[in-house]
Amino acid sequence: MQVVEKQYDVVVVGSGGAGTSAAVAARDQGCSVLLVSKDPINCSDSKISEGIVTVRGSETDKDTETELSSNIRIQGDDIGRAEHARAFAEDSQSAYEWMRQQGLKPHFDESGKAKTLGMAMGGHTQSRSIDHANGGLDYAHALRQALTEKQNGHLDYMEDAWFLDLYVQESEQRISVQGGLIYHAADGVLVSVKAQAVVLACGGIGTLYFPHTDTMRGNTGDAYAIAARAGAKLVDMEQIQFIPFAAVNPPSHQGLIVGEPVSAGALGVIRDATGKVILSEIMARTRAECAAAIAQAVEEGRGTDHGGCYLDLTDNIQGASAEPFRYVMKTKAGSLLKVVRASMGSSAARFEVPWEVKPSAHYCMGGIATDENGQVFDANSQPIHGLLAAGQALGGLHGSNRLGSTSLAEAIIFGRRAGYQAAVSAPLNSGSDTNEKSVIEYYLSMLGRDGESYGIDITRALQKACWKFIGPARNEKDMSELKDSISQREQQLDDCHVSSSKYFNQSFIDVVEARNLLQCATFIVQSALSRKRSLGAHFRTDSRPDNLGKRPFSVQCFWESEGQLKIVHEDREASPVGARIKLRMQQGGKILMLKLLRHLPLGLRDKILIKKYAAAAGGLPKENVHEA
Amino acid sequence: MKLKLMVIREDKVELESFEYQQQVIGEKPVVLDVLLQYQENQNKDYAYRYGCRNGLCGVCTVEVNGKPKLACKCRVGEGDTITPLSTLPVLSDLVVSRQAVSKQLVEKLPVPQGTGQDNNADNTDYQRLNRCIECYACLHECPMHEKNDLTNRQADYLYGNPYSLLRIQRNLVDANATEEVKEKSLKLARDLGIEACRDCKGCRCGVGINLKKDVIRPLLFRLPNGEPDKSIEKEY
Repeated sequence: MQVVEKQYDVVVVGSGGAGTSAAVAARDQGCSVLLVSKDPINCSDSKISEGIVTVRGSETDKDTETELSSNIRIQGDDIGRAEHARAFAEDSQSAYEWMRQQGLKPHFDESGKAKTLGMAMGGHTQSRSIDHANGGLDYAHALRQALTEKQNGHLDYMEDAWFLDLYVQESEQRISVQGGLIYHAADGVLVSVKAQAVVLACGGIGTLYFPHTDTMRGNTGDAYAIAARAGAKLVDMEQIQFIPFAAVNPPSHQGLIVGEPVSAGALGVIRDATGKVILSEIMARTRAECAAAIAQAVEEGRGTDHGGCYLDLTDNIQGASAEPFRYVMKTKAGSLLKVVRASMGSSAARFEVPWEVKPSAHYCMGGIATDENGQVFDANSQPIHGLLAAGQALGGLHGSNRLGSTSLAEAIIFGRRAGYQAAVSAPLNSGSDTNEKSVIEYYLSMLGRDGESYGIDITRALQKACWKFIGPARNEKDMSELKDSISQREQQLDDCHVSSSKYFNQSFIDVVEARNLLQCATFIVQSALSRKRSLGAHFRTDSRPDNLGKRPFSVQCFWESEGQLKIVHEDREASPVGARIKLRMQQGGKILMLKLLRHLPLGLRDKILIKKYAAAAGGLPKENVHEA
Repeated sequence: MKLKLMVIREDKVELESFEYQQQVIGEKPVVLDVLLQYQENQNKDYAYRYGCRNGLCGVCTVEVNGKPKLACKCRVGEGDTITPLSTLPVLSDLVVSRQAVSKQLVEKLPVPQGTGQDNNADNTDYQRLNRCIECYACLHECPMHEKNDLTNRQADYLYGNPYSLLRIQRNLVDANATEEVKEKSLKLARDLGIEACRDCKGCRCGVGINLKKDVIRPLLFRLPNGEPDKSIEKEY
């Protein structure tokens, strides 16, 4: 395969919200930018998302930066970095304004103000989430518009392009990145690109759990594996967010999201296979709490044949509030109901029968260790010159639990910061050689290799094992077993068959991605083993959760030498006790209110619910309230 | 269930038979189920695209019995034949090169600047067009697109397609777009060869946008001496 040389000021990897905004930010500083995307351009998790964006103050002026950043910190059990939460709170409005300029249009009220969802999404104490008519598609079209514009700087993009590895120069205890190697499958060449800075915005690891995931196929953990190979440190990799309610059947729908805690209505409950209620007042719970309840029941043998439980929303359609409930669901959760109808039938979509559900991998809250501008850190917490991360690739913002609708805001907030930072970082070249030659040689030597097994075999076997052992329920024994099997599979990978074809060489791509997946499995399993107690999304069946008074810490990892992963713990500052108690009490209050509601006389209960649903839907059509 | 799948490599083009094994009783598999099983059981380095499995990302479009379909949504039946999109150059097996379409408008389509005009406007028409997932099913039998050099994987496309016209039309219904932006957008539609639409029966969208009514016809109306052809008028 031919190796083509190119030179840009900045290279950005990934073309979702984070990558696109980073590339545009660097271009606007006058840089020449190359945006690299392995999937077709902008076909990312941003595009397939629900398209709901956190914007501070979008509902009320009382919503302060402190309140938002404190929500993020405390709901994430304080294991994230305070600087990241603060940056998020500072920039959420300007990030959304930037998306507006690219053509994103929310729903407007009569005064021309953007409408919010009208309710606080999971983990927020304020209603501050803005939804869009076509969900993530609106968001993706805006990203595309940003790439279409003619501007001062120069922006090229390349799709069907796998970023393989970074070029690294090590000198005097300092690491610097000077570009990297790309497989451009559409042109059938390797592209060796030199740059003053590289932004990794290709986060996500959902495919490690396929088919138990609702994310894009391309989520093979490339950002984490590539950064770690260049000497970066990763944080909180044990914290994988599992959405609790995904379809179990048929195979083509497995893992797709069918509901959120907030869409369970006031009276939704989770039942085990025997019909016993295992969690109620779901509306006031986090994704992590719901997923853990299901995982626990399945672990104890009370799950369904498909390894799930039942989400029972039938109580919501018992009285006069039934039609308003259906209306809110249709207008606010229409895309979820489509999946329900297709996978479980129309009586399920009318809430007449319980839904069989199980958790599904959704988001990687851990990621590459950075400062609040996306500057990546090495094992010694020193900056790696010329390496930045943004979006899901970046770690340290969410801690152990991610608030609803924050990811689409986070993508732009940290994408723009990283893009700007990449543009202003001066080239640093000590004159010594980078590892360019050995990187190119490594990938070229793979081509045309004969072997019995293929990358896809390893990936499929790994996915099964990871779902079982580092999925929503984990324990010491299983994880230790997985750790051993990963190293066997890594050896197997070196003997895999790789064809020599130039254009879209699937066997090559599969081996490249399998390697990244295997390394990510190592990060996750070793981080998870090292966090002995359940915390947030990390749910262990063999220990109790930490108590509230314990000092929070972050689990971090990096390659000490080839094949040797080092795990360290870093203490974090806890949020003030008063703020933590206040937030827990607010949540407790919500649960109590929902409990009380369940026991009110039906007529009174309906009255309250209809009012609530009307507020959530921004008014109900007349035919839906005649019974009230 | 027996199906046929197209295998295209640098050295061969073949239609391979495959017997799909049902995974659950009463299963009605979609194309993607077949592709996943075919790769795992019979052709380990079979090249195909998929993304969200939910009809949103737009990357998995293939042809089933010669018609463009989303692999994640289209149910298959006995004897169906699965081939790559015939409207774009093949890279390998079911994977086609999309870059020339996606790049066609870059630095050519003017972008509406600023916000504020849309706050008090009816944005329904704009949002209707944003349902597009860029699956490129609309390229099928497009007389404009057919004029491009589709055998060359590296060629740029001079002529447009319904997707590029959709994005042009979106500028025309964007409350934030100035008259200048609209004029330039229209000129681009002409440059891309929209005249070919006058004699065309019309195009079909992969996710159900009414392209004739919401894109082609409004654009043709705005052209100089822009009365659409009578045959097109009849379509509505």
